[in-house]
Amino acid sequence: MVTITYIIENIIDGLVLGGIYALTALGLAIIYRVIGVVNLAHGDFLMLGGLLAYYVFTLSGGVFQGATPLLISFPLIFAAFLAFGSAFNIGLVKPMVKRKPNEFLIGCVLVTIGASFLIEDITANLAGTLPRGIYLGLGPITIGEVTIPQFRLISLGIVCVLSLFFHIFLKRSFVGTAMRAITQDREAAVMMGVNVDFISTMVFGVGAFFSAVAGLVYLANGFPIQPYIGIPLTVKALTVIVVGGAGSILGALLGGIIIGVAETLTGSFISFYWSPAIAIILLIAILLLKPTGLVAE
Amino acid sequence: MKRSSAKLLRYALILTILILLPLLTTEYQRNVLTFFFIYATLALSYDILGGQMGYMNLGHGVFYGLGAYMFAILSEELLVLEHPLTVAALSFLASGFIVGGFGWLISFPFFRLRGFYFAVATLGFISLVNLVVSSAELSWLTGGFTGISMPLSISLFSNVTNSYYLALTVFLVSTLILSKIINSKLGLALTSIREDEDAAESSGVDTTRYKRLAIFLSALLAGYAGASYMWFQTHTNPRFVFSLDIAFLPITMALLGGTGTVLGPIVGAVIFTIVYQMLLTNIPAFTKLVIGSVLLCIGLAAPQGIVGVAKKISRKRALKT
Repeated sequence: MVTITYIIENIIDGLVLGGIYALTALGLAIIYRVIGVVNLAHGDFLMLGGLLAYYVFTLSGGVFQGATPLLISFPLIFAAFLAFGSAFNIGLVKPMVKRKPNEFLIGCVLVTIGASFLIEDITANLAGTLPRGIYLGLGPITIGEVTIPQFRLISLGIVCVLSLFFHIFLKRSFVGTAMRAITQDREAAVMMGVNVDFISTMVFGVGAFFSAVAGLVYLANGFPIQPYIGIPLTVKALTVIVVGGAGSILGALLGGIIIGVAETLTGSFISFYWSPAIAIILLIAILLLKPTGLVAE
Repeated sequence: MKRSSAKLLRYALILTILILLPLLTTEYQRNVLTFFFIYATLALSYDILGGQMGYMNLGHGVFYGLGAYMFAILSEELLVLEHPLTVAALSFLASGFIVGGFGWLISFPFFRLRGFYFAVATLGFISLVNLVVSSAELSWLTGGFTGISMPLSISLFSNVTNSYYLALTVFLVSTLILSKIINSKLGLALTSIREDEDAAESSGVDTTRYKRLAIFLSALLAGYAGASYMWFQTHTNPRFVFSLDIAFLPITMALLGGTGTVLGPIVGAVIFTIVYQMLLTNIPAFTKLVIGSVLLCIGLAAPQGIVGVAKKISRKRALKT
């Protein structure tokens, strides 16, 4: 039976899924906006982040209870993926920046898809291909008639706090201002003394971190981590940023939440088989109505 | 005059070698060669849109898969009418044109988009087609997850040698069409679209017409590649033709060799086929690792692909002497 309670619970589930998509897409969007790279290995960052959180959780499982391992893995993920993303940028993307736009684009596609294959295969050989999932063991909370699992609330909290943090970071910090300057006018930013190389590296680090946190939330919500989830998630994140309007931060959040909620509702009310299809149908429908996505630049 | 006749002689020589090759090779080698022809056709047909016109069609695999499915479905449906071989020939010929028509049809919504949006929308499209084809609702037609087979009375006739010749023919026709396109008015129009679509349109190039023609040809050739794959393998399932791995296959081959030329996609397909077959038989666990490393190195070292680098080197050498 379809009750209001059931619908509300589903929308909350959808918001969490949308939050995961939004976080992944946010990273992809800022990398695309500032550096101009379509990072096809982005979903693999999510997978690695989730895997790291999984190991923290299983290794510290005897010592800590509940959500504590997640809190521990947070700074770990921050440090690891800021470094990883920066290294990725310095090693693989920076050597290509000086090229002509067309060649830069081709180079990026080759390098990032190559990196994605590499990451996937190395992970599969080192960590195995078994799906890795955790159970947080937290009871649900009941508000009125609506029952929400605690980890859903924690996940929503993480997504909200991070988006807010990112907003403040963009508006108030020096690096954030420089990022916005580059997206508005690259040459003017260079002339005003913005170190584009450094900012690009920071952006890649922050983008990778967002994706990895999405992996943590993904894992915490009971989705299993597998080496092969990377590319489908990259495609999903691409869908999200195109629905929202390529590279717009607000668009990435909006697009993520629309697609997450739509997928969950389709899954619950029509069939689980068709829930991935709704994202693509939405993508094509929105692009036909507005060929540059929901939030225009 | 003399030069063109020497060129002709060279082509005739290559053609003779390709035709005689099945006599000199083992069955395994013929298998690999057939795969190479199919992949090369796929890469060439991708390059009409991706290389000539500058539209990155990440859903190109849709045409390939539909070609395979169309061939199997048509021959199943028409089987009651005629002798199996006639049916096979008719449905083979028809399948390519149906896929071409399909490409022309989807151009109406998709060509409203450009650049990055076009790439992502087509990538989404291949996932959607994958879901539709493997769905339970359509399994009466497509066989769902388990896939589709050629009718037994037709697949009896399929063997490695005739698959080799079929794939070779499709490959040669594609090469011919592509080299004709490059030196034609259509090729010029496509290049002008790649360089600056708005400028081309305002200079009087009927961009819409040329774009539709290009996607029709691209879909047609990919459809035939899929149909020859179906004849060769006699069975396929959505995972083999509509998965995301296949979606990135044509573009990686074309970029590997070098886009915008006839030779580039072919070279890309040669390398991909050899590396892939070697890995798959020797170290299956590291297939993606090695392919990933190859792509990475090409991306970092040679953005114009292997053919681009070779051209650069030969030009430098010519300057020196």
